[in-house]
Amino acid sequence: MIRKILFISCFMIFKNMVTGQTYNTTAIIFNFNFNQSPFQLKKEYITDAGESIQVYKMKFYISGLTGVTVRGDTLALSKEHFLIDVADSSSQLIKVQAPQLQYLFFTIGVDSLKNTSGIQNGVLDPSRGMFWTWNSGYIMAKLEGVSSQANTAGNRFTHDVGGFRSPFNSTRKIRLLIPQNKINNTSVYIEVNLAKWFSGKYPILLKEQPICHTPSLLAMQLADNFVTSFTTSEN
Amino acid sequence: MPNKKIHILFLLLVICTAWITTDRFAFKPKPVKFEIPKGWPQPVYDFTKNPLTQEGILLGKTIFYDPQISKDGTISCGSCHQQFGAFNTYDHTLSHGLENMLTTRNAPALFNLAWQKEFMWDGGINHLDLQFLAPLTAHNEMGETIDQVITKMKASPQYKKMFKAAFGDEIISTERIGKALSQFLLTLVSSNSKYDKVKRGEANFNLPESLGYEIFKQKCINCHTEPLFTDFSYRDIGIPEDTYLKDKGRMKITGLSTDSLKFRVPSLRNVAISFPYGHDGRFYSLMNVFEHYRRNMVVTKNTDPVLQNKLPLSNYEIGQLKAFLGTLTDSVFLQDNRFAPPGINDGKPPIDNHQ
Ligand code: HEC
Ligand code: HEC
Repeated sequence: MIRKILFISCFMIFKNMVTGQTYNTTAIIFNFNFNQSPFQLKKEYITDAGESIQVYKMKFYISGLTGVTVRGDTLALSKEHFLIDVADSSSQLIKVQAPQLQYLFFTIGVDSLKNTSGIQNGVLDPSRGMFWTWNSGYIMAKLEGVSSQANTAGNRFTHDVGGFRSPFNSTRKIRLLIPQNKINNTSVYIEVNLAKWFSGKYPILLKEQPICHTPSLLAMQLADNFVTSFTTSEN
Repeated sequence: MPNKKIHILFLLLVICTAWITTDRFAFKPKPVKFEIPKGWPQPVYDFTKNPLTQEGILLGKTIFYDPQISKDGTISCGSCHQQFGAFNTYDHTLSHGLENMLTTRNAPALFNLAWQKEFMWDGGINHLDLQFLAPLTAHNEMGETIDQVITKMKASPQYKKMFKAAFGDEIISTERIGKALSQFLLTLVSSNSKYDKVKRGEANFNLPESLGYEIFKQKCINCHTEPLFTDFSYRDIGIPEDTYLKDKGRMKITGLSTDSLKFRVPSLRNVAISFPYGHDGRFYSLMNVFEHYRRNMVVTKNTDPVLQNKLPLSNYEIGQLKAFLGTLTDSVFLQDNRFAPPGINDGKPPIDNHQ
């Protein structure tokens, strides 16, 4: 046992001495807007289809953060899952160690293995309210609120997008080109336009589809819409 | 002298590591070996991720029988899963949850869960550790949030002690609750029925039982497959949809119309005492089930190919089949003190005070 401890300690010291990371810290920052006006929870917005909405909750998972350097090398930036929550600004900043990047890739949603291997911890803890208990699997992204057009109790609409099995796999890949106009780029600003949730690819009317809480065609369409919400900015 | 610096650093690290790990050394829960009955397949549950220990099993059992984990402190897992009914809801079509609200399905008996890959009548839950989240948070069952349960447990010195004994420290988390419950549920192995004793050469079937076994092997075994008496597939056996419950079964999970009205083949172990039957408990007796198979089935294109002409059974065959199904009752399991609620251990049904 002592030998084991000695070994591990040695190993750790030498690992740090030899492989000391030399990359800069890059901050990945998510900003939310609704067709270019700054986004706030509970504020009223009008969708592209002319429906009025107030959003109470907006959260989504991302995973598989990967960068492509200006030299063209692909680099895994993090193995972690992140839960980005509009209500929690600290969740909107992710710090990674990376050289200057040209592209940023990530997946919206949770790795399929994590959907099938029991209870996870941290941001993947089912107590975070992003897990379907009766049909095991994560909610990849959710947008909930009220709309006078939603014909439901309290005019509430609930768009919970999930499902990890084909044909209703709701994870989506995002590829973003990072503007290279600044020297020593250490921040990547990602703009998320939530208006696109309802109109990015498929027009979704709250009058007709106020509820999504199964892996379904509607979930697939919302996921396809959400992909179009993401752009980078030069801030 | 960079060498000296490294040495000091090194020593410090060793001391730190030793200090951090001493707590771990003191943590020695007693391992429990999971016995696989002779001739059974390998379990599908991954025990390496959640090794059984006496402390873990005891914690799981305590949670299973603790009504405090429900919203109003009245409903435990054991309220709906009763040992004398092989952990089904004894004699109830649907189960009563919070404020006497009913569940929408019949509570299945619980045993041999280590061999099961998916849970619930529609297979919607893909891991045993996750299962408790469904009844815990359903408004008509226990109606509680995970955070609330954890808060309640953290306020209890007894739970803190038990979590430490089972997992090495006092942290109470969703994952640990799930793992502890699984440990208890996994120990619910039913493999000591007369049928098992016959298979082991310790007993013999009488004539009706052995005739019944032959009929069973002809007519039932492709779905109710030995030794678990289910092949865990989802099938439509021509039970028409209840117009009030509107339960589409497996289709609710897959979204595929070809899965409409398909439900998991239930095990027939302990079937003689786990009435009522069917996913919504609509069959009060085995006789009702046989009548269904031979006369009342509503055959549609989704109905299992094997049952397209219903399942002809003569009165004589039904008699023998009943005798055989009786040999699947495991009274050792039904009365095993290890599974009984703390303090109650005669395994007998209580006086039913439901209206
Ligand atoms: C209000 C009654 C009720 C309570 C309380 C309850 N259950 Fe259940 N249980 C059911 C019903 C009904 C089903 C079947 C549900 C379905 O198929 O959709 C079920 C299914 C299960 C299953 C799946 C069995 C199988 O063969 O797929 C397990 C395991 C289980 N319950 C364990 C528990 C545990 C652990 C608790 C406590 C945290 C609990 N139950 C609390 C009624 C209840
Ligand atoms: C094609 C597959 C299939 C065949 C063949 C079959 N069963 Fe079933 N059985 C099922 C399914 C599926 C269910 C559950 C149906 C439901 O509740 O929706 C079931 C339910 C039952 C139940 C109710 C058990 C409970 O706990 O609710 C009994 C009893 C039963 N079958 C006995 C038999 C017998 C005896 C035979 C042979 C004569 C037989 N079955 C043949 C698939 C089959």
